[in-house]
Amino acid sequence: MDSPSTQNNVKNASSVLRFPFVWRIQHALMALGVIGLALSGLAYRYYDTGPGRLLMSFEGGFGARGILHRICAALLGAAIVWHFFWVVFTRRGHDDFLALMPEKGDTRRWWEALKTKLRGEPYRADWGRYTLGQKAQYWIIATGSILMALSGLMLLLGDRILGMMPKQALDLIRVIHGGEGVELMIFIVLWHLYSTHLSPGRFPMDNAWLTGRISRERQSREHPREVVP
Amino acid sequence: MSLPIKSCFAVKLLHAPLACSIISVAIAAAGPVIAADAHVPTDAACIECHSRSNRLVERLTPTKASRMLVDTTAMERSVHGSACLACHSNGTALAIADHPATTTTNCGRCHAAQEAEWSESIHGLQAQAGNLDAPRCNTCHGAHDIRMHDDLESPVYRRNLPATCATCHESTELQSKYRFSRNRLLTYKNSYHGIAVKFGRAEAADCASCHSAHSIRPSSDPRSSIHPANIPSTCGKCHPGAGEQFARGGVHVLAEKQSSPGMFYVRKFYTWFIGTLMVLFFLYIVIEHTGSARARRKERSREGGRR
Repeated sequence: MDSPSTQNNVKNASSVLRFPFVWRIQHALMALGVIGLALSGLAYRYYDTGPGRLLMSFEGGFGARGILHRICAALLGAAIVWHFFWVVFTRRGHDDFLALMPEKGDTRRWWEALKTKLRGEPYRADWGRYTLGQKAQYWIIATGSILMALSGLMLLLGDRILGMMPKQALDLIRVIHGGEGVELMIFIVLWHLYSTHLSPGRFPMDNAWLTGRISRERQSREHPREVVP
Repeated sequence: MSLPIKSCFAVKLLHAPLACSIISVAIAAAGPVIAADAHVPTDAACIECHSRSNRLVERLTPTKASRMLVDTTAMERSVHGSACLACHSNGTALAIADHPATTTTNCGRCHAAQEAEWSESIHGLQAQAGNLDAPRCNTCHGAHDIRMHDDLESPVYRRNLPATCATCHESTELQSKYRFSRNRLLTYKNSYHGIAVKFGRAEAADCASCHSAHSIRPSSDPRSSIHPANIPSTCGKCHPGAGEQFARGGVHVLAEKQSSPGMFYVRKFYTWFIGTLMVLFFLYIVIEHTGSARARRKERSREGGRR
């Protein structure tokens, strides 16, 4: 699938624009929100442990931690809403979203890539703009963030919705919010940050999320079907 | 639950008005440590015998000494100060007032409203029926070291209250004896209320916010603040939205299969899901790095072969 990012790449002949500016701002907003949410959430969840207490005092105590959590939730919420409108109302966002859809052959390509890695051969698979792993990261983080935002909103509006639902529902929402939060954090730390920082050839960091650009050589190696002749 | 001082015959005799003067004369003759006017019912006279300044204490066994001694430093710190006779007297003559039947009566002389509430509570009814396990004023508030309820060191201060209630309600012996619901402290401590109170939030609920301080009644009692019919109004004190619907569901909830299957299965799912994810991620990382190392080795050996 041809990507919008492959067009208008006259800035540098040896590199291509992979992530446009709007994408990078959305990503930064989301990263800021998620990091703050994770730190303030962990301080609450593990309040009775040494690291939890340390985090709590670092965040200015119980009250300040709550305010920080809500501010970061607002940042994440803003990123989600902005991304939604970007996808729905802009050509570039719409195309980028379609490129993230799972397509036929993804699992075959993934299996081929895994076999290549197991055999110790140089990585080469005919991925388009996104690999199956990148698509999975997007969808897991997107659905997880929406679930967190909805459950968090229900906990925030607890007083107003208490009359509408039995307390069991509130208890369940609390468990979901905590469980999903830990799952997302593990997911982001162990997979997303790994692939950006510690994956072979990436250390100390893949700068694409800051500059938006990757080399043409890398594009043809990792995303050959995205290359415009 | 044991009482700090037993109202045995010898102690009654020692404090009886008639016996007092005879005994005090005899003790005064024994040494200068006992004031000559010890028979006069004053707070100072009480302290003189019941503090460590009384050298006769050294001759007592540790058990007897601990029964007799009063922590005078704690008394001076307490909200009542060193006012022995206010509690340990019936107003006309010295009397031992530590017996369960009289303790609350003495507190009630000044705290009548609280006493009235307590006497109709499950604690009060049991105590008046002679149950020595039932908590009286001093069980929760302390005896000689009584602090204001907003004093950080008071056992009934918001942050200390859960541990004070837990003394009985988390006691394995009393839980079995009276079939108390279990894990009340654990579930409270892990709730938003418990965490907020621990970190000093003034508006969060402690035990007394829902169960009341002195009018504690079992949930089966229609007058109880935690009777299902009263839950909306009790929760509604802080959460105006809480209605009848909200009363459906326990408050001290553990993620157990029997009592709350929804929470149980959701928690189980996340535990397994997160565990599996971690294992798969580590496996993937190992595969990627070993594969990459093998690819580099192959590349190097090919380059070596070409040379």
